[in-house]
Amino acid sequence: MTLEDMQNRLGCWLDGSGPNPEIVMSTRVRLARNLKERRFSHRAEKDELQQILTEVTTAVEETQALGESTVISIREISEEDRRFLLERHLVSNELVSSDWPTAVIVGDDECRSVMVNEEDHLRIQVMQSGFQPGATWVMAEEIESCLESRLEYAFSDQYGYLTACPTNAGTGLRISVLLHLPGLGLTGQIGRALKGIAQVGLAVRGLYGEGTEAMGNFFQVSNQTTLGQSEPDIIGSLERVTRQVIEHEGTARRILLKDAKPQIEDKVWRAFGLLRSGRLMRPDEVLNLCSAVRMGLGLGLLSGVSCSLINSLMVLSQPAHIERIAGKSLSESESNAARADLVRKLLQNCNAC
Amino acid sequence: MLCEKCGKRTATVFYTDIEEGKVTQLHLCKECAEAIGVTHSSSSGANLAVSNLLAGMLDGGASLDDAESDSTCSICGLAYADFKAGGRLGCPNCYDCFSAGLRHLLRRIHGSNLHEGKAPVSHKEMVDEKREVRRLKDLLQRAIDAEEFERAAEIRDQLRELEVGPVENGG
Repeated sequence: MTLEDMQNRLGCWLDGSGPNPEIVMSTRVRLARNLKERRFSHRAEKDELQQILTEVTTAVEETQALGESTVISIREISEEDRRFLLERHLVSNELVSSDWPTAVIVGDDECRSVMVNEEDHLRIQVMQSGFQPGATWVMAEEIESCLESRLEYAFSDQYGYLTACPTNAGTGLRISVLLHLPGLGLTGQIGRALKGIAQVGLAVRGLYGEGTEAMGNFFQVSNQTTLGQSEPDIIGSLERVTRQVIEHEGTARRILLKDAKPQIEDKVWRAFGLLRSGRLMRPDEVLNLCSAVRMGLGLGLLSGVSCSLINSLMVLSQPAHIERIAGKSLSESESNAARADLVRKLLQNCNAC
Repeated sequence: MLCEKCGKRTATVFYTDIEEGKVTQLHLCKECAEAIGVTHSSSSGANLAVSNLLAGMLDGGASLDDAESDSTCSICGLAYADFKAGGRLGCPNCYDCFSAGLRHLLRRIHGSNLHEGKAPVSHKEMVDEKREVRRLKDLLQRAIDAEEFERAAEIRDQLRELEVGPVENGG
């Protein structure tokens, strides 16, 4: 699988399947692991990192832990291609901005991947569509156990899996859900909801990870602590809180439908109209319009468009994707024009009603 | 909505700050957000935040900090002061070398400094046994507190069996 193969299709975690996909866009599990008796990435010499990279890559390939997979060496790809992988949520900023030997190993469906020599030697990542915390954890654990047959992880009976940053020590587990909360946003309850989430010890971030920008009412919620609780307990608390948020979002959407149906319907259809007719579109504009159309789908105000199509628009319309599809670098206005063209093309066969 | 800081530009950033359990939320414009160091998807900004946070937590434990301040990891050579400044340890052995300070720090970060989750196959037996010992000790204490001495004696015997078990097997 090459980056060319990847650019025209999407990871299966965006296919709109799984429970509650209209509110929970995806569930992600990340496991941090380091190799025993080796320095952590930021303290290791280049040779040692290269050796770790080879060891991990061999282990992944020989165990088939990710099924059919591709190794993408970050040093060998361009700045644009690094952004392309970032937009697909396959790599972190840290991985693509380091100048030491790093790689991402990606399973063919893009749901399973391993970042090598990020802050920790291994960052195992599994993404699934919809709200599937338990199943996503099981998949990540399978990969981790499979690799354990070839690699010896740094572990202490007292502190658990040892990580470069003590904030990840213990289970090394970060589970997050990507939530779409336009109902809470439009009814002005989002601030209170996010505050509540923070108060029970979970972290809230914007769509693209470590930022704080709330774009299109998309939020990532994840566990804050990794030590002192078992994995099922950590997953269970995130699951319980998320269920409550889903419930509140559902209530907010029902209130909107009851009290302001014409206004909401108008907002949804205008958004769809703009997406289908625009000639110049900024990335944030597409994201916000997609947010409105997604809400319309969830409320049954619009049909004939699939949730997965809207999910793919959100990823494919990002700047590095637009440039990759165009096959050259673009100025901002060229990029906006290409983005609008792509969006119209993807929506042209929809029989929205 | 207008930015809550300058009151002029449109707020595009929703910022939640949590300090000592106090949550502050602000709607800011891009310029004001950048001015206070909130940037979108910036790894350097995020790292800075984490290391600042860790440094703050370490400073809070001044007495423990003193005990570690001169120490250096015997394997990777990382000085405790460098860990304090950067927020990252150098190698797995650092967890042993800086144990006194880290126990305290981990408790402050996670509310615990004892791993309760999965263990590699090679450690599983040992980890399970330690957990069982802890569980029984806890039960023993509760039985004593409730003055259930017969029950306490039973638990004590179980504990003794666990603790001397390996020796007998070994002999």
